[in-house]
Amino acid sequence: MSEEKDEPTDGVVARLRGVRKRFASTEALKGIDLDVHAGGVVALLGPNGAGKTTAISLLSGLRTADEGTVELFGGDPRDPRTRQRLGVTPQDTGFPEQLKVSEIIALVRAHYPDPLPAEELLGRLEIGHLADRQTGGLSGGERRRLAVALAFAGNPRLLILDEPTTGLDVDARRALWAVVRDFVAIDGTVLLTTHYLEEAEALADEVVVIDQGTVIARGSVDAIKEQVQVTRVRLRVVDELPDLPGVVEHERQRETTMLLTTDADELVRALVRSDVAFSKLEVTPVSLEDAFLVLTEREKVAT
Amino acid sequence: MTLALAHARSNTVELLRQPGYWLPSVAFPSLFFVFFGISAANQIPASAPVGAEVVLTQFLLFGVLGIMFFQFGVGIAEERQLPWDRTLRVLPASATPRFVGRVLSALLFSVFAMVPVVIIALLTTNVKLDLAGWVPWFGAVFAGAIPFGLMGITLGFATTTKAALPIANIGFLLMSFFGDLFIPVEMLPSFVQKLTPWMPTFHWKVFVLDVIGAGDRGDSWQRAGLFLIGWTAFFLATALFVYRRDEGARYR
Repeated sequence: MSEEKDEPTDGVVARLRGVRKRFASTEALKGIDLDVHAGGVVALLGPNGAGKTTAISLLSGLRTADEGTVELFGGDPRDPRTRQRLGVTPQDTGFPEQLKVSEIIALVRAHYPDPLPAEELLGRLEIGHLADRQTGGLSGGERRRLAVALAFAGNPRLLILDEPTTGLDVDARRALWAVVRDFVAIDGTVLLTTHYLEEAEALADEVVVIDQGTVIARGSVDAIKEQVQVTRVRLRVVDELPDLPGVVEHERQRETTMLLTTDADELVRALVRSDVAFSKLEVTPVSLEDAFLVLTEREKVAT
Repeated sequence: MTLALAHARSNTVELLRQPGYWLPSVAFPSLFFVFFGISAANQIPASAPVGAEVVLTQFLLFGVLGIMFFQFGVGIAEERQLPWDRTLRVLPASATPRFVGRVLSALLFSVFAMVPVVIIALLTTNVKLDLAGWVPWFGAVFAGAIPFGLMGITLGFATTTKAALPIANIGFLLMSFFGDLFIPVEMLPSFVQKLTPWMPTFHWKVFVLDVIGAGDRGDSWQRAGLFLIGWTAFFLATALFVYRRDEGARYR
């Protein structure tokens, strides 16, 4: 039936090794290594222009690397046969406006030897009621759901989602997360990029932080937090704060000051000793967002 | 092939739902035929072995060229910048079914454009071929159109939306005039007349006319056909080259 490649013995479904990609004036990827193991969700995290979308376009065969190796299911993603068990939802979604949802699905399904039934695709993303609508009349959220439904058309083993929930409201986002979790529950693998750190926290087994074309951290969400070991300290203070130990980030909005520190205990002791009047002291563990901020900040200082 | 048909179907449905797009392109060759073709066809002496077919052929080729080359080139250049293009490119298929599907759908629209021209010609001019003669005639028109579709694909992938339109305009006009489709090439400067025997449009015209027995002395449809096959191979290669090189829209 389908000409499937043998599963690589190490269970890696997608791999980048020493990959470089340059566009006219900028080097989007400066030697990236990435392994996506079968099962689970890997989140590529990074600010705009970090190289996330470039990495994904290499893995889905849209572009070629200038240097290094790009593997998908152990093969070359530029070869269409390699992509038979790959589903991709690009960052921008758009369809021929005059075509109906059901017609778009039929066209995409025709590309696969063993596609999932159209009803199942419509059902999974709850867009059955849109089947007879022309795509030009869909809302942004409906379009995004159709784009994700299309990624499932070939009954994929690996799903690549490029910022799948950008522009979606909270309900739609959570609904999409549920779809991703269901897919992982049936042994699917997901590689996603996201701006929403909440999203990585909610879905990802592994986080890879990219900035300026290089990987600056990787590990579980907890491990990333551990790696930066920062704590958030919030307090209300009217006067200027003295120099405090271990501060890596300092933000002040009116009388509320937010500090990220590598040593909260020492910071609080120093604060008390300094005799500055303060109130409403809060010490909280960092969110991934803060951890991420610190990581990219450090990278900038280092370069 | 199933996939090519699926693409052809989508393409056709999409265009059919935009009458503002296809009506003018379908009506264009008919209008031109009414303005210029009828009188030219009626100047052909009644004693000639083949009548209005000669003039009619020129208009058919002109119309089909517009659809196969012009609209293809511009259409693809536009489409390439849409996110939908990226969705299609990551699907597990090579470029070929998409190309074939596009060519098929363009051929269908060419038929739509040809039918009214032929009907007008039948009503107003002296068309001598019988129905049996129409099969090789239209067959030759269609077969010869293929390299121009590939030329359009090449243009579409090699340029941006804004560049495609003027380039397609110039290419379309040059190929029509230089290829002796539009006005007799004898009316053009002599350097143009020297180029004419090398124009793919000229080979196409010679090929079709000789197939229906209306070729000039010395013409042979076999020779013109070989040229067309050569053009097809050439533009297939360029189309595949620009498609493979293409990584979506490029910015600096």
